[in-house]
Amino acid sequence: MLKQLVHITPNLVVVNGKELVHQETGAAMLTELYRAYVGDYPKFFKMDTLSKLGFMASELLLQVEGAERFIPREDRAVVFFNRSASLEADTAYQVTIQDPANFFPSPAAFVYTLPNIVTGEIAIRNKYFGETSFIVLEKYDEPIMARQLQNAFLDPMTKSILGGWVDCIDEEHFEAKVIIMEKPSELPHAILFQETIQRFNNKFNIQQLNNNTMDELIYTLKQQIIEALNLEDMKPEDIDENATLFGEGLGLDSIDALELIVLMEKNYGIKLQDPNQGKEIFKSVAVMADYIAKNRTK
Amino acid sequence: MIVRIADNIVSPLGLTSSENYAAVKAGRSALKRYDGLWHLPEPFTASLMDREKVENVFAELADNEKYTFFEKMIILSTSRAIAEAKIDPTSDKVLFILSTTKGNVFLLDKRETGFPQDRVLLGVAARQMTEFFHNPNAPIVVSNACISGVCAQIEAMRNLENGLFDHVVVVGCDVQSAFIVSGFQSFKALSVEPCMPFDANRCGLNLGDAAATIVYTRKDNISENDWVACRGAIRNDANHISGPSRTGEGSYRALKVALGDVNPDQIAFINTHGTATLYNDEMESFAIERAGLSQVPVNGLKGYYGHTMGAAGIMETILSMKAIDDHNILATRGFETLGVTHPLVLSNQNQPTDKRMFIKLLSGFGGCNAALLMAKGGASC
Repeated sequence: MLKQLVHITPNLVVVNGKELVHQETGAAMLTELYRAYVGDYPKFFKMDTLSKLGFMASELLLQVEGAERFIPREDRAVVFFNRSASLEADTAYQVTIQDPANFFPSPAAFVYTLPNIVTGEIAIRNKYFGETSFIVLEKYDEPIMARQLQNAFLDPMTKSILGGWVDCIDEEHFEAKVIIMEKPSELPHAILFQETIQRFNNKFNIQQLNNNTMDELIYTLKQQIIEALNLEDMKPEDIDENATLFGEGLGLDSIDALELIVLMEKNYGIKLQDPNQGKEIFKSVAVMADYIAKNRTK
Repeated sequence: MIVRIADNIVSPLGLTSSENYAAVKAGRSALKRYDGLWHLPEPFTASLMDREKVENVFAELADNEKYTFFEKMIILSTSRAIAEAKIDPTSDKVLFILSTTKGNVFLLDKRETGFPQDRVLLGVAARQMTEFFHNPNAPIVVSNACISGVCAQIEAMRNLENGLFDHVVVVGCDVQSAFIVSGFQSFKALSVEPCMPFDANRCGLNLGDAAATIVYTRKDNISENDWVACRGAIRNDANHISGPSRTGEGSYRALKVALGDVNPDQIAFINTHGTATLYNDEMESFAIERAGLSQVPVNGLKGYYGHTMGAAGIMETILSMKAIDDHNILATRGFETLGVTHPLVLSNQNQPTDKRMFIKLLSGFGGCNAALLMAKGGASC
């Protein structure tokens, strides 16, 4: 019953298994996508990054869906999930009130301090009068999203859902995995989000998507290593992910190893107790990324 | 059917649902004016908890140092409701749903110390509660602006209907801070005086602290005194992110679905959002008229508690159940002269009723609206 799937990260846009070409990364990439695929909806520029992300994910999906658009309808729900709620907007608003000597609360910032605003942006754009809902989870959790999306079909009018994961920490850290799914013919044993993602992955060669996700992680990890270890004159491209990090390769030392332990905990929620474990994991960027993908808690 | 088995309200007017209902019935309001609180340059009127009183009561449950004020409120309210419900919160058949808009957002203030930054994440805050009860399920947090309290109840109903859980604990809570108050001030949405829902002179809302909990279960043999959650609906205005539809598009549609084929004559009252902003109250009056419910009495409770955001939908549902148990339609405090263009049946005095159903209506930023039909005995659902 799954019709379309889009996956967006700061460096990657995949629509139904096909990667879209772009030059920019992060929020600038979302603007680039807007100019390339939408172009006539200036409200986009007022949005926070979470709304831009959800908006572009929905636009790309709806364009490939190919159905006639902008006709008022009440049978399509918009149901999103994430971990960070409206953290980027909250932080931006807090800045406007932090200093008592420079206290200028910004209404334009405040309005985005609610995560469900993105569902409203999509409803307004598409004239959707149906259910709009935003649910915050501790982490990306497909079984829970599946359960909640299936539940949403218990509304007597909902026949399809535009929904999924839309998370944004800031302009450089976000991820959307959004689908359009139609009401399964039989409830409650019907199609789950999980199953649909699975099926989709099979159809569109999951290998490629996984590789892309891993490439993504490796690239981000290189950026984080450069930042954490102050390798200022290096770019991610300069690091070979298969090269040895310590000794000959990148030439890191034991203080650097401690920084990497902090990096693992700070960015991925991985606590390394045993320094010997570190020797194995920090062998190369590729090994690190593999370990992160398997053990990350955030 | 989906049935309420226990509830609780923690607010400045009391620490149980009964205390709160008695206070509201007697016409007491928790709204007070604050000058210079939290270093805010403008005065404001709000319904705020006595933080110290909460700590004193909470000390009986757990270590005050381990939890934020927000987390204490949700643990306090849920623990009382769970004790009344006599359910085992450690069971994997029990799901916790938290309704909140801003949770621990005050932790973003650089002057706040003592808690890890990740507690600002709503899922992490909710986890403090489920860990307190040793509940094995991941909590879900409904964060749909001001309609969250009704959305969370709809999510509870759905999770019970599909048979995945036996009990759902739905708790709504928000606590006020410089962040929220200054934001609403920047929107020019706050009244410096106690709010006046639906009144000709209304000029904005007040904010409030509260936590409220309902425990729902699935039950086949409904008794006369059981409160049944019949139907709920969430609909969008598709109009504007921070202003309601002028024609009540989403509220009208949500009301229509929640009402179903129930005869409006059976409805004791519609408990509105009634924030006392110009646009909200006007919009609700239009939506009620469009749904053919102009003859049904309406009321609004923001004059007692202000707008308690994530708690509002749950707290106002509980007070409405209590009111019908007491054959009463609660007075709309702060209302004097009707100031909306579509006529409503509204009073600032308590009114008698023998009817056994009501509708809870809410609307919020993001153009969202929600309505929930509740029926005592469930016969007419």
